[in-house]
Amino acid sequence: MLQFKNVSKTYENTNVTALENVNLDIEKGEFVFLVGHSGAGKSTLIKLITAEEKATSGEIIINDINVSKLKRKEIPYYRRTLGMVFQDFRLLDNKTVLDNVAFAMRVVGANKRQIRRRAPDVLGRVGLSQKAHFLPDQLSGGEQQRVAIARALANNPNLIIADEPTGNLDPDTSKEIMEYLEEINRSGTTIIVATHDKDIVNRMHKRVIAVDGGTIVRDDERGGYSEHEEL
Amino acid sequence: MKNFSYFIKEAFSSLSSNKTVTFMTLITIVISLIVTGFIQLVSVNLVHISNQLSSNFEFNIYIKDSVADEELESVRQDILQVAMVDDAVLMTKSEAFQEFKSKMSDDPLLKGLSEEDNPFRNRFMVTVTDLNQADRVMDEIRMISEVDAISDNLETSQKLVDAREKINLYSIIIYLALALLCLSIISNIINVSIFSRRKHINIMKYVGATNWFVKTPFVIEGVLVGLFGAIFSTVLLAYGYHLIYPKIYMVMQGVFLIQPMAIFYQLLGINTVYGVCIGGLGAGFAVNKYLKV
Repeated sequence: MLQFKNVSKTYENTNVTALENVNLDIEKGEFVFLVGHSGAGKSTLIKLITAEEKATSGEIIINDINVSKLKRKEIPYYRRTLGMVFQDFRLLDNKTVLDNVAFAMRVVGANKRQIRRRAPDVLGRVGLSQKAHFLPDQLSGGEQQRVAIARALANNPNLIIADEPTGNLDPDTSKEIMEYLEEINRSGTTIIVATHDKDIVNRMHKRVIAVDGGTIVRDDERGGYSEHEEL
Repeated sequence: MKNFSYFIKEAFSSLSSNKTVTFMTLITIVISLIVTGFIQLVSVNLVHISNQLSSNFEFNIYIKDSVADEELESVRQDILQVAMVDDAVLMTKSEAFQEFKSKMSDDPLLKGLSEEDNPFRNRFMVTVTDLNQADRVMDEIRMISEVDAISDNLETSQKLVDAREKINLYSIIIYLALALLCLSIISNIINVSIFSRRKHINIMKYVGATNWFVKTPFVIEGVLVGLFGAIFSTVLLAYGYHLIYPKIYMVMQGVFLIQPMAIFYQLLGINTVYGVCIGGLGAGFAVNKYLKV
């Protein structure tokens, strides 16, 4: 479902090569950790997946869409097939929890009936039905991240990309967030988590892809965080 | 348009939650519209006045002394035959002499001057329908054999025509220059408000909103501010004009400005188009910068 073929990325303005000749295959329903130092190329890899950056060479195919060839106009429609979760949650703080989820659906053109049916449902999946009418800053960090996960789920994507989803959370809450992601993965959604969190990676025994110096240095089916990849 | 109510709601909620920016944008539009509206009022009135002057602008057509009084009417008909001649009024030499005498009744030089010494000639005072064509009209009148001379005030008439064209041209140039200036100011002001909402835009882009979807509420917001600004500034201008109108009439006798009500709707129309375009475009340009996510 996700394929990188000889993908390289050089940033034009700085002339820095962030990724070099990356080949990658992720199957539908996989749970993958993306690990590596800051500046190893992790963020660039994620940005290429989300079409925020364009590959300098090579081909990226996600959900049968050739992402490297997307026109600017087509990017929004492509993004609707992805769910994204960020370290800083990125919730709209003037909207309630329910409205944050509803907003993501409205943006892609869902009607009121669809929103009324689906938004409470996805909030239920992250255990926040009771807090639907709270504002984000009335919630704990873990709860906010769960709202973000619910929002990512709202449009029923088959791929969720989480960029340091536990970066701002304590270990217990991090564990909880990962459990929600694992639960979502069990229902068939492919999940890619970029992280520095050694404990989580070591505990969950999922596929680990390590990036360093712009190339993939390790790809373990059931790996952990290796010592030299530590921060 | 299932999104329409959403766009309107978003636009209004952002208008009220960004009061300072809304107010600053409104003030900029109002000031700019008052300036351009003032230019508009001055220019339409100058054109209006020059139209009045040109419709009253008379050419004196002097008739040869050899032409008998009985023949004057047929000469008048000949003149009226010429294209674009509006009217030809006869002033006989005795009428001219009488008028002259009554004006200068106290002048001792005129004492003893009798009708026989009348130095005046018969003449027609001719008005034309289009002052631009006065040159050609006069050339044609000159061809009539009874015509002796034509008073040489063509130059003056040409100046009037030129002035009218210049007024129109300059007011369009000033208008456009102010529109561009105002557009850039407003775009920058709105930019401030959008900067504070870039997180919002960013999130919208990540969940797959099209540029159009992100932009529309901002553009509606700009259009609304432009519309309010247009109405507000037009009312202010119209009120000011209403106050000034009778005073100008007193000062410049014989010159009529356009009546306040006759110009109100034109002013409102142009200001609305201007305000709406500036507001909408300003917002659109400002958002564009934040759409590249």
